[in-house]
Amino acid sequence: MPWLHAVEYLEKIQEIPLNDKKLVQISLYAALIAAMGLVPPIPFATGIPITLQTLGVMLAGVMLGPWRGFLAVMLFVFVVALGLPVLSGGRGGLGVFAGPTAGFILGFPVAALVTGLVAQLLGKLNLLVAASIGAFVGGILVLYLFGITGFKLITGREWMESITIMMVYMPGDLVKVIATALIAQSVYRAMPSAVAIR
Amino acid sequence: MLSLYLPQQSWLHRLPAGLKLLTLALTSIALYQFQTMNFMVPVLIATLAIYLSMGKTGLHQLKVIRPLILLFVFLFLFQGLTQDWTGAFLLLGRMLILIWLAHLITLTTRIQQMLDVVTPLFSPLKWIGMRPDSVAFSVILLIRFVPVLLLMLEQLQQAWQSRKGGRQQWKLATPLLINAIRMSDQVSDALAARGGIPRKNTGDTLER
Amino acid sequence: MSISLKQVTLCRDQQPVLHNLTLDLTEQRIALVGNNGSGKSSLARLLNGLLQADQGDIEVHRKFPARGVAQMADTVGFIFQNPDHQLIFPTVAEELAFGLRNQGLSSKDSTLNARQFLLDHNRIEWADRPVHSLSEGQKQLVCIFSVLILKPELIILDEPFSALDLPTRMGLMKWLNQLPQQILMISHDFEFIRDFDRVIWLKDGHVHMDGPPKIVIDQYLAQCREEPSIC
Repeated sequence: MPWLHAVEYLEKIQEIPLNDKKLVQISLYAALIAAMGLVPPIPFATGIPITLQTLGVMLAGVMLGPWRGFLAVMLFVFVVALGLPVLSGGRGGLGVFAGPTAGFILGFPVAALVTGLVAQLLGKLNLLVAASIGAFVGGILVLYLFGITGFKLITGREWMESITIMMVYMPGDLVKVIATALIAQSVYRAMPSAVAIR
Repeated sequence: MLSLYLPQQSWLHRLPAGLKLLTLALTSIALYQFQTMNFMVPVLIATLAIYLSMGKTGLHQLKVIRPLILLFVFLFLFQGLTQDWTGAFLLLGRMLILIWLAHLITLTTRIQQMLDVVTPLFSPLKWIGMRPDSVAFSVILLIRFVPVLLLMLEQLQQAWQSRKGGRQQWKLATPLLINAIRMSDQVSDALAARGGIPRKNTGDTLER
Repeated sequence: MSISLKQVTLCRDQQPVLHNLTLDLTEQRIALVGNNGSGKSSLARLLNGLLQADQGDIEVHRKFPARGVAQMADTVGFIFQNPDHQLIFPTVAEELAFGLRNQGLSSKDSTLNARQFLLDHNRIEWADRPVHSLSEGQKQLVCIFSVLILKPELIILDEPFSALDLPTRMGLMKWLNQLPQQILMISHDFEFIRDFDRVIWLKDGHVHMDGPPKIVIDQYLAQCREEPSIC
């Protein structure tokens, strides 16, 4: 059973059991993602506005490692569901999960996990490159898979239609891949120990 | 405390959270099953009536769909023009109803109540070495630290502005991330000094 | 070269923080003391434009903070309490170069100047070090450097030594004392501000006392002893 294999693996790399220190780290990172949602979007190099929150989600897997990054973003999504208006734009509550973008939000934790895993597996490469690829696979491919599926289910559109419609967000999201990589590298140069995957 | 919960005394507030969630789940299944105007329209009217029963503040909350208006218009027109208008109305109606009903639960249910309902679902976490009440504690910690982190961001912004930083403030993500990680070390030390994470969810509450 | 405030009033969240303040600050070394909530941090931030007065006029070294913080940045350097909340860039050289780039220098020139600055201050080995590999005191010195490199006329410091041990404080203070700029400092380090030219004691948004350190500090200490309170 893959589930048991995963648990064994996590035990082996000592990510389980979660001690107090790891729990606090997860909670604080989730708090940071929430805080980033309360700040308006900021222009990136070309002027396209990005939300710090999206960056925070993508970087979770890089900063905390895939597993704790996953948990941190899960906690964030959970807290949004509980009723905190911390999804960027001041959104929150169960209403968010009933709307067309629900797939994206539910996909956040997996995006963080995959971003972290891929960046970690590409350990031999320069961090900028590893983080870019990780952010692309996790933050675009995987996240859009969730997002488009959710969109299709909620709106009843066909696959091709859903994909075409959601592609509108792509240019802005490619920008966030670049921003993620730049910040990952910047953090690593400022304090290497802050980046768990290295 | 930042929360979408609307402190009022309505009949909805008094209903148990589990019941509200169950009703939402059943309604959404029904809306997908019975795709007829005869079913959707009464449900839509009922939803609006519930909001109306909550008074002016309640009606104001209908605006929760505002960020989605453009998308809704697009989907409505798309469906209507390529297929049929009945289908378009059904789609629009269903999306509105589900978002509004879901939001209603958030408005009328305290965070602690929601937590009480879902905590039993977390008992399997024991198998990976997590205590189920860790989740409640994490939520508390998150709520406590959001303002602290926002203050830190504000200070970073002041330092940035004081050196004429300009518009590319996204670069503040770097010190923000680093400080958050370092803060978590300090907080876990402080926590350890107080005896670690509280065993049961006593003492700390989410509402004041 | 001075700072002048004329009938300045500041409100935050509809609460008055500073009342009708009129001050002329021409001395080289000025200290601001007072309890928490007395308005000293707000006053400091009015001077570089981070906060805007609700009433009154402020002129700082022939510039007007009312026009915004960006145009004050070349004239007024601001050092905050916590270096971790001021250091934005990964390495020391980048941190120093940041302000220069904002002043319009090219990336290349900014980096060259930053390295030259470090060389002139006997710290060239810091250039490529990650900022978080430095000690708290060293970090605060980097903050001072990154402001100094912009050649301001006035340096404002808001409790800059809070987290530092005594030797570090003394070291930094000695360093600051040799600077030609006008310095305005909010501090509780009475050891150091005794050597200042003027001390202003703010209380509930008013100037409670204003004069030579000897007098003002002793009065302030006396009152704190007589009426200790938790602010």
